[in-house]
Amino acid sequence: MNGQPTQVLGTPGADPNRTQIGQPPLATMGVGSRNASLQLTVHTSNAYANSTEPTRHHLLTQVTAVGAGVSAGRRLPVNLALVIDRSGSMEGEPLEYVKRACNYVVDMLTPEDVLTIVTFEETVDIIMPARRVTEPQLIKQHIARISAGNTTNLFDGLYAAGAQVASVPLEGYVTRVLLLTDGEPTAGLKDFASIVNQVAELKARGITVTALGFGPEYNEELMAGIARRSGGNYHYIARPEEIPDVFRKEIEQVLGITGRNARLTLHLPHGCTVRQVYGTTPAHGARSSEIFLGDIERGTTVSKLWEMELEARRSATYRIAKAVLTWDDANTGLIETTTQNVLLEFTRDMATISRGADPLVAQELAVVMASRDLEKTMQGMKTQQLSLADVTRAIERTQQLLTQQGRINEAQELNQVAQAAQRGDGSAMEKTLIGTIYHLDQGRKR
Amino acid sequence: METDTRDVEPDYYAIIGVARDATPEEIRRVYGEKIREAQSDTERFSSLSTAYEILKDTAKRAAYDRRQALIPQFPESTAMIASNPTAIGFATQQIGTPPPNGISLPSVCAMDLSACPLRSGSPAIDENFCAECGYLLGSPLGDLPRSRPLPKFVDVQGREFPLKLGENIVGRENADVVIPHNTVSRRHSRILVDDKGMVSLEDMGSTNGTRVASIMIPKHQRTGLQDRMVVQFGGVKLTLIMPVEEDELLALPEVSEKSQPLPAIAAPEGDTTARLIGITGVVHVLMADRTTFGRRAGNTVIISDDSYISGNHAEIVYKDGSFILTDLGSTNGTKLNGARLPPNRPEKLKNGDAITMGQTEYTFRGPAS
Repeated sequence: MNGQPTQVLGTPGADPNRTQIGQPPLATMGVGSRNASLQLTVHTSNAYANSTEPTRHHLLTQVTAVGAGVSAGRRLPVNLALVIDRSGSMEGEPLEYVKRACNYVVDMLTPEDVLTIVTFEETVDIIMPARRVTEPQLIKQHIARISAGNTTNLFDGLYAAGAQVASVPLEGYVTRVLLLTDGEPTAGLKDFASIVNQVAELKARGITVTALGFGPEYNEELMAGIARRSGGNYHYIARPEEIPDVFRKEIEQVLGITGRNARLTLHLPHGCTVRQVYGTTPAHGARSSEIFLGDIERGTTVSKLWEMELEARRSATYRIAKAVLTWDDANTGLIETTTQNVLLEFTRDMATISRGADPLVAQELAVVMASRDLEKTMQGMKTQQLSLADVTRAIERTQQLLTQQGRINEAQELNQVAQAAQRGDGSAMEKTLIGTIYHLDQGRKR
Repeated sequence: METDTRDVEPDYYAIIGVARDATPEEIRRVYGEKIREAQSDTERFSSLSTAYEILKDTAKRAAYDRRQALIPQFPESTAMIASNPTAIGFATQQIGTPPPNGISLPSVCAMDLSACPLRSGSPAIDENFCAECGYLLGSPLGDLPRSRPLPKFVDVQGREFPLKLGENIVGRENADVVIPHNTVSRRHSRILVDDKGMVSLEDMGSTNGTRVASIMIPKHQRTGLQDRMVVQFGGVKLTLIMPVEEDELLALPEVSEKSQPLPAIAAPEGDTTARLIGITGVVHVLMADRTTFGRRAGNTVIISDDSYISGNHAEIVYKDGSFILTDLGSTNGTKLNGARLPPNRPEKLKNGDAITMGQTEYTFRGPAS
């Protein structure tokens, strides 16, 4: 990458005769322990800012969980709930693949971990209340007995699973609810608001929900909304044989989590404000803005782009933000904190400013804008203001851009959208596209 | 904030009169001697006991040492520059501003305030930055922004929403002033800031309306706003803060034309300004109108490393070709050539005069009068 971390003053392109002051060693104080699992870097869209008038800048924050794979280093125990839709439409192949996927999850867990299995149709069955995974064979016998019923009572299923996960009085666990459904809620509380509010309550208790939508019938806005509200994942599963693979990816991610409850706060001086964080809703304080990054697994980088507004000020170097990342660390077992000072030199020399741009931030901005374009495309598709040809062209353009920017997963998803468009499968297009937008907003990259 | 205590904490080692690496026995012994001498001086007595409270306790002393270590060592501490290879040096020549090295460590925040367009808050230091405006202490200061400061909104929490010249749309998203609240419409209100800094507002037909000073304003009709007015967009209240007027800004010594350092007549080799020189080599450049000395923020020279300095201790005024020193009723007094000055009695300075404020000693270098 060409990007210059902002902590380095004396950026190439700066006037070599200009007196610069290096960052004093004090600035690195407060960095997490040596073997802490998360690292924070901050890039600014430009190393310089115009001192004569108000300007907008972008900050790119990247939080990286070091290491790779499930087996590298210690892992945190998990407190996992599987919430399975066994409505009538799941009968046959889908439910058989679900059982296979559940068995795989049981195999991946150890007696250190806690597992809950809940199924729902008209009513809710707690197949396995929150228990340690000590007798995998017994659990698998219970899984084998799951059979299809009638309606879809998603709300109560989610509620029962959340209650089980929350009942475990153990600290330091990765908590996750894995929800799989193939249809619209048809029993119990059915409205979007009730279900998403329940997810918000779970999140407040530290429980993340991953929403897996299977087949053409489920409500993608509800499922993506659940994931977005909770910070979990969303996946569209087109065919039953894909179910085990999606479960495998999810469980690998959960087992790889090395930083929990990560939150990133920018402490701001006067005259610097955060206008927005793309794809995330920040909590604003008087002189701070905070985003919740949730759980981060090894080998993953979470990028967030912040739009800042900077007032005109006397030419000099300023710290425009003090970025503080805190998280529960799996490696050290402690709550860790790391800090980065974000420095900008304010000058009235436009030639200097024009040399200070950071291409890395510009690239990230292009990705964010691609996500906005996809939202518009999706809107146009739903309101039928865009023709299929228009949509296909827009998708292909964004796909090229994402490929260039190294967003391979999202580019592949758009490829699937384009294929669905060729088949004339509008449902698959929307279900995939809403996921791509969410994945771009999450800013996660392995 | 922890930083607030950091920059006002006195040097307890200096108060007792021991080295930083003194053993607990040594501290106890010296303290015992000093406290007996100070029986009749209540202020000295209390500052000694405060210092001893901290230094006698291993944990408190360690915490204090850590806090002190965080205070940046500035120009006079050349050793630090040498030991820090990334610090090439400190700019000494700045057009139109006093040389930064003319101001000692405790007064860098006065420099902050002159650098900070908002001029607000206390000059607390966080790491090496002004906690208020973010200024990197010691970084070269350049010109003030030419444009005038702009009005802004502040919410109940104190979060700022800056306004720009011309039109500002207030709305829930993709607006100039973004208020992500479900009672705020996408395009809620339009605010105009004209080039005289006057602010007016118009509701753009929002669902939940706009209130100014609790009164619902008619839609699509311009209403003038004044400083500190509370404007309610839907359910969200913001307070308008107008910038400090320009003539008020000019009244502040930092930006006054007269505040350029005045050339001293009897200056030795190349030095061109009237100044006070401290025994540690600290140099304070004297302003052409008034230079104030004290512990508190707002003084031209802030002295925080001497616990005998009062909040507003003394001033030196340049008038009719002379520099005139006045003690501003400080607790521990100001001495001129060893004699304590009566408070509020101006005294003309001559080149080479010895000035003592509290326990801080200076030599005056200036025009021979």
